[in-house]
Parts: sequence; C-alpha cells; structure tokens
Amino acid sequence: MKKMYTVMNPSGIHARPALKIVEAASRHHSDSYLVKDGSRFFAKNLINMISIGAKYGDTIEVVAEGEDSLAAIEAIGAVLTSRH
Amino acid sequence: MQLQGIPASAGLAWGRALHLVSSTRQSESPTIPLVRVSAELKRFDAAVGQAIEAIEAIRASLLEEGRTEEADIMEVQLVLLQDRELVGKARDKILHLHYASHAALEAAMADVLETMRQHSHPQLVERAMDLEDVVHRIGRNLRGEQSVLEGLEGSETLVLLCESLTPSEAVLLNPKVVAGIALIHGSVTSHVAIISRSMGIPTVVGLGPDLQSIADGQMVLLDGTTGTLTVDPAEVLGEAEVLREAEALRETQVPRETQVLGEAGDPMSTAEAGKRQIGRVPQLPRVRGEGGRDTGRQLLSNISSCAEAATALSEGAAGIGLFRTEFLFMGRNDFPSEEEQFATYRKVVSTFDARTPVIIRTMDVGGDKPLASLRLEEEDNPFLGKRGMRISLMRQDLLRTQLRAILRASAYGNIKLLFPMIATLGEWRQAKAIVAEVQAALTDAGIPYNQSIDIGIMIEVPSAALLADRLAQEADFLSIGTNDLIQYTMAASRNSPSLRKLHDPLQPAVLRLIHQVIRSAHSHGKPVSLCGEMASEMAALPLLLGMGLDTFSVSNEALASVGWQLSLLSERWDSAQLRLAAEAVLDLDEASDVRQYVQQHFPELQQVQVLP
Repeated sequence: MKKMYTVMNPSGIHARPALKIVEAASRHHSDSYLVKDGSRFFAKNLINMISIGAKYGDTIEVVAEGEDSLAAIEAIGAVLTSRH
Repeated sequence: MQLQGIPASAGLAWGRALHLVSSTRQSESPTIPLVRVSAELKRFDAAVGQAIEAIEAIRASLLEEGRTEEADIMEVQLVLLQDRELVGKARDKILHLHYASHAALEAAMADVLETMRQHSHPQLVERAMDLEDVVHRIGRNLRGEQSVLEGLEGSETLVLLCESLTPSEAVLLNPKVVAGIALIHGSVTSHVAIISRSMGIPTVVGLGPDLQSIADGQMVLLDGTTGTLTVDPAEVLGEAEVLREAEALRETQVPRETQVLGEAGDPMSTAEAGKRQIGRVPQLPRVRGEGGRDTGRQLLSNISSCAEAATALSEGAAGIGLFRTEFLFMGRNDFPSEEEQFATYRKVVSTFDARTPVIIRTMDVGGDKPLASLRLEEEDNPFLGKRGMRISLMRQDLLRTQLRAILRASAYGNIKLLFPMIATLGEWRQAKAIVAEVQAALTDAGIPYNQSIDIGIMIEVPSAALLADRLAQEADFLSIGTNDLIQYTMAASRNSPSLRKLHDPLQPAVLRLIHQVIRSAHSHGKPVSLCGEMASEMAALPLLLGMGLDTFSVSNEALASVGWQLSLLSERWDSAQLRLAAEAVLDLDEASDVRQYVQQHFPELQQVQVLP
C-alpha cells in the first residue's frame, strides 16, 4: 500500500519532524518506507529519516506493507503535512 | 607509613589523600554483575542526560550568535539522543544482557550503523559522524573524563593518588585545589610529569602499588624534591618535624606573577625550588668557552603555553627551543581554529625580540598523549603506533591549518618549524612539500610570512638518527628528542620505573647515537639542539658539550641550574678536554661506568643536586 504526500513544514523534514516520523512508524507493526526521487528510506530509522533532506513542497511517497499498513501510512502522512 | 618514589616535580604538598580512578581503568570489563544493573542504568541515563544538556547549551549559544546552520547540526545530535534506536537499544543491553554502559553503547552504535548499511544512501555517511560524535560524548561522560577533575574543589587542598594520569586529564587539574600528585606508575619524563612541573604541582611518580592502601581523606605529606610520600606524617616524623615542614611550606608560599595557572596557595613553585637548591642564581650567565669567548652555544627553554614563554623570558632563556603545540589541542572536544592557533603562536613569538629563536613543533599527539577529538582507535602499543607526524600526514587538514597559523605568525619574529616523529626521508619530504604548498597559498592570498623560515627535524626515532646525515643535508637544523630516542633505542618504556636503568641517557648506545647525529649534522654545517630531559641531566652536560651540541633546551625550572653548570664547565675545561671526555665514554661498557667517569673527571658537578 502507498500514498503520496507533500511536505508542508516550511523548514522541510529537519531533525524534529524526522524524529516524529520514526515515532509514528515505530508505533505500527508494518515496516514503512519513504520514497523520494526513487530512493527508499526506512521510516523506523532516525538516521534514514534525517538523511532524506526533503524540503517544503517536495512530494514524498509513503509505502508500507502489513496488517496496519494504512494506519502507519496515515500517521506518517500527518507528520509530513504538518506545518511544524 | 612512608613510601619512596621518583621525584618528578619539586616542592612540598600537604593535604588530604584522594584516589582518582583513572578513566582508562573503568572501561575494562564489558559486562557487570546483576546487582549492579540498576545502578549502571542510572549511570548511563545520567551520562545521556549530561550529553543532552551539553549539546543543548552549545545549540543555544550558536542560535544566540545567529549560527543557525550549526545549531541545526546540534539539533540532529539532540534527536539522536532521544531516539529509541540508539539510547533505547543500549539500555536494553544493560538491562537484559548486563552489559556495562560503554559496551552497551558501542554495541548499540554498531547495530545502528548496520541498519544504515542495509538501507544505504550516500547522505548517511555524514550522519554516521553525528552518531559517532554523540556516542563519544556519552562515552566521555561515562568515563567522567572531565567532570571528575573539573569537579574537584573545596577549602582543603588535596593530594591526588592515582595509577596514572593521561595528559588530557592532567591539563584539567586545578592547582588551587590539587596540592600534589602521587602516581603508582610513571616516570620523570612522562608527559604528566612535564605538565605538573609546568603547573608547579609537586609530583612523585613510581610509588608502587602500596599507594592503594592509603585511604581517602588521610593526611599525607608529599615531597616532590626527595620523592617521598608520608602518610599521617605526625606519627612517623614526630610533631616537631611536621611543624617544621609546614613552616618551610608557609615560607615558600609566594604568589607567582608569571604563571597563569598557579595563584597564591600552591606549596612551592618548581622554579623557586630549583633556585633554592643552587643558592639563588641572580642572572643566567652566558655560556662561555675558553678565554671567556662566547661559544655560540645557546640555552633555550621548552614550553607549552604563552604563560611559560613569559616565564622563559624572565628566567633568562635565549629563546624557545621547543614549543609543544599539542597542549593547544588537548582537554577539549574540538580542534583549535587557525585564528586561535595564530593568536597563540603570535603571542609567544612576540614575547621575544625579533631575532630570538622560537622553535615551534607541530602537534605531537598519540603515544601517551591521546586526543579525544581525533577519535583514534586504541592501539596495543601506542608508542609504536600512530603519533606525531604520522597523524599529521594522515590528517593533513589539521596539519595545513596548523602550518598556516605558524607561518602567519612567522611574520612577527624568528619562528623555526620543527616536525616530530620523522622516521623516513619520505615523511620529511612530504612534510616539506606541504609547507611549500601552504606557503604558496599564503603568497597568493598576499598574507605576509617569513619566506626563509628554518625547518628542522626532530630526531627521536632511531631510524632518523641513523639517517641523520641524509636528513641534515635537506633540513635547516636537527633537534634531538631524547625522551623518545632513549626509549626507542633501548626498547625500554619511559613510564616503567623498573626499567630506569635501561632508560638512561648515559647508556653508551644512546651516547653513541647522539654523537653520531651531532657529527652528521655538523658535517653538513647544520646546528643540532637537544630538547629532551637529558639536557638537564647534570652528568650528561660535559659529554654533550664535548660532542659539540649547539643548543640545550630545558624546562624553565631547570634553566638556572643548567645555565650555571654549562658556564662552570665551559670556564673550567677547554673544548679539547671536553671532547676527549665525550669520546672516551663512548667506549665504556655500562651507563654506571659513564656516570662514574663523569664523577671522577668533573667533580665540581657533584656540588649541585640534580633537578629532574
């Protein structure tokens, strides 16, 4: 399962939002990934998340597989579309 | 109880004993007993908490200065510390696997790095450095490297008892609180001894394992001049004698003007002690040869800081024979910037007039001077590992920064450049080529520097001593570092008290090597200086004079006594006699034979107590 989101935080996915994504992903059993420019980043790993380097307005695909994949994707999507 | 050790820094110290658990000792066992698990978790959490606080403070001050980009980097480190992956995994390992904190941390970091490898992206590489940085910060907090020493304060003076002390720990000592240092291991020439001398803290090394039996809080009297440590001195010496000792202590409590670190309250500065022993030398006499003619021989000073440069000047040194720059790099978590280094070098060279030589040695870390900020892995045998020039050639970024700072400062006086731990011609040529590149960059930028700066080679590896003729051909001068040259030649650690007989500057093999170096350099018309502690070994002075050594460089504390001896020797004996003596000892069997020979032929030297 996958969904597209646009980064709404004016400073992009910097350290704090990255931590929030990891927390959101880790609350779910499914493994989730963020795909940007064809590269996959493991959402449960902080260093991966920090390394995405996504800016405001970038489009990101969130992919998850497993029972609670939809919940996982939406939890991550909420962080991506949050303004801060 | 009274223990006998080796005097390493003169003076009396009177205070309560305090054992300092060395940071290197704690990290031995990777696991802990079950009963300690909850305490270990607390210790770990405290170390993480400390790291968070420290990083937050750095971040706040960066934000205040408007350095938002750097503040963001610190923010990354902050979230790394809050991440379940690193800290959580480390806690799990302590809780379930009974790992010690440091082992848990290392294992957790390895796990995280492994995950990074599985999901590899080029961006991750720089993140790995952030990760290492926070892990090292926690590790330092766990070892208490800084807090233990920085936290030492109180109304009472303390005598620190420890197995050994790393130089980065030693530079953090507060001489207002630490009256004396007593070490189980160590030797007179170890860097700790050098640092404690420069800080004026009386120190005795090589006291042996009996030191462990002294309880914290017991009153001890440490005599850094004779090398004794007396526990509860009232019992052993009798009250009258303690009072007399204490009286002597009070008399010598004179505030020092020239040293930054020591203020009134230290028992006795080593400079004072040195002067007292030789009956106060008012002014340093010139070194003179036969007929009172100036031999051209110089007596310079070894220093590690601006404060010591000022002392060297007031003590009458003819310049600086060795400025140990590594002390700029120690006791901190980052590297000094070019500007910071430039300011220091400029200040040191500006202490003297424009013709006075100031020999600056590039960073000589490694060996017994590990550098936290370099994050080098531990080596089985650090003295035979990455140190000195070897590190500088691996970390050319650091070398270039330092060279730029030194070269810029060379516009302000007579700076000479010295490279440590050169072992091959290739290393020397590489170093010299880098100097040329830095010089070219300065020229392009229109920054002034001394274009004909003298560049010298430290002779401390036996291979360099054996290649002295080749090296002297290309270098402007050679400088013999005997502390290392002796330990490498004799294969006897300078930190091993039981090997003192081998680690002896009067060993015939050492004398032959030094003789050969001086002869080789002179055959190419290049001067030789000697900046190890051998230059303040009284029995060695007539021999070094006889070999034709051009420059003696000693600590500020030894300047007066060595200067006095050198002028005495030069007045009483002509150069032919001294040369004969120097050549005669080369054929003797043992160091003890050399010592006996010197005693017989130069009896006047005996009147003076040798200061370490």
